[in-house]
Amino acid sequence: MPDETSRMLSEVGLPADEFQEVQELLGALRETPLPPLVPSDEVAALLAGGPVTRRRRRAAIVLGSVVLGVAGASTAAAAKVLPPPLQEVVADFSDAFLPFGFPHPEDDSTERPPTAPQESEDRSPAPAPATPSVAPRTTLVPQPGEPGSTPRSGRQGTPSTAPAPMAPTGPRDGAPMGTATSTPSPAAPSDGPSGPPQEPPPGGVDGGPPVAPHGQVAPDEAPVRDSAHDRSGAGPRSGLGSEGQ
Amino acid sequence: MELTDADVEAASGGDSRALTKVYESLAPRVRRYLWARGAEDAEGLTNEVFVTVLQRLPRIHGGEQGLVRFVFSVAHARYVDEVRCRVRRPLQLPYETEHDDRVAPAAEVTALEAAGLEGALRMLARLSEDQRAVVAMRVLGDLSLENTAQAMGRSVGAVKQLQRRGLLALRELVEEGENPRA
Repeated sequence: MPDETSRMLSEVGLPADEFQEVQELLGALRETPLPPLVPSDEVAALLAGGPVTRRRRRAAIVLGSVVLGVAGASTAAAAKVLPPPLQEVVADFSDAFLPFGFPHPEDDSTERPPTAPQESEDRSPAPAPATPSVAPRTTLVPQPGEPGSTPRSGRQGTPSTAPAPMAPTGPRDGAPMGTATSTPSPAAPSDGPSGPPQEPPPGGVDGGPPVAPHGQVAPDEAPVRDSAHDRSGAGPRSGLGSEGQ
Repeated sequence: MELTDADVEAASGGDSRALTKVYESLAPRVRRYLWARGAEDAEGLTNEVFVTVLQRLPRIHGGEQGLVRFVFSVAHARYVDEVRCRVRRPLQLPYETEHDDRVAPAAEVTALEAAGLEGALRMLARLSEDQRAVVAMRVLGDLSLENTAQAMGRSVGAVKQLQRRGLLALRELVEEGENPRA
């Protein structure tokens, strides 16, 4: 007589004597011998090692992640695509501890393509002297053998890198376009010290508004003004369009 | 084999002997429960259950009773998963023994035939899923009413109702003249 079945019957208020056959049926299912259970390989491994196998697996995952992370960071550092502070750290580390070196972030400055001269070349032969950029200065450093190299030592830092032929076209007629034309003049910056111009020309080359309205621009001065103002508005461009044709 | 709270505690700490004791005391009950429920591969499913249980053993609380509840919860869920997979499979033809030329039947089939219990299992199979689960857990898994309720995710009252209806249905089937030992 299976005890569990009797308990089940009493729990639900059923008389045990009316369920004799049910009790026999369930007792037979309960007592039927089944072949011995064989643990699978995975269960056997767990029984032998317990949770250790999981710890090992987790450790392997962590180790693999670290290796992948270091490899990824190294690749990124070699390609110089890391953020500059991180690139600096990686480069310093490689300089100190590794037999090879990763590039420093400041190495970028010499390799960066000059953007400002490209823009000025597209628009006008006169460059924009508003900001002293590195690329024009390096290209216009006088050669040691040139006759004008000695007195122009102070010009090396000046942004007046415009070619000389453009200079005489500027201050003609006393027009308000002196803003852009005074800068390329070879005489203007000669007495100043090196570095950016200390006296910005009247009218404000550095981002100032165009001083001349459309109708007052002389035909040969419009391209110079357009380049000086860095294409900030439609006015100079429209003037250039009417000018060049 | 009597399982104690100390055994479960030691097994949670990774003691190999305690782990073996947990397996040897609970795995046969789980396998019998799954077999009575009609699992296709009761032994394989039992091993799957214990792969899960042994991996989560350090996080199981409640001593021996807590472990039993957890084990049968996993077994119940695995069986339900198996039934769902079976339903999703393509249509299968019914198995006919006279067309089977294999010479070695499964061990469970041999034991069943020896005990003449095929009819008993067929009768149990005619109960509803929940009724069969309750009867199998209580009779074959040795679970209390409360543990059965927790393993099935039901209330104690609901399990009691299922138990009552299951026993009444079994009695009806017996009285219908179906000989369970046939």
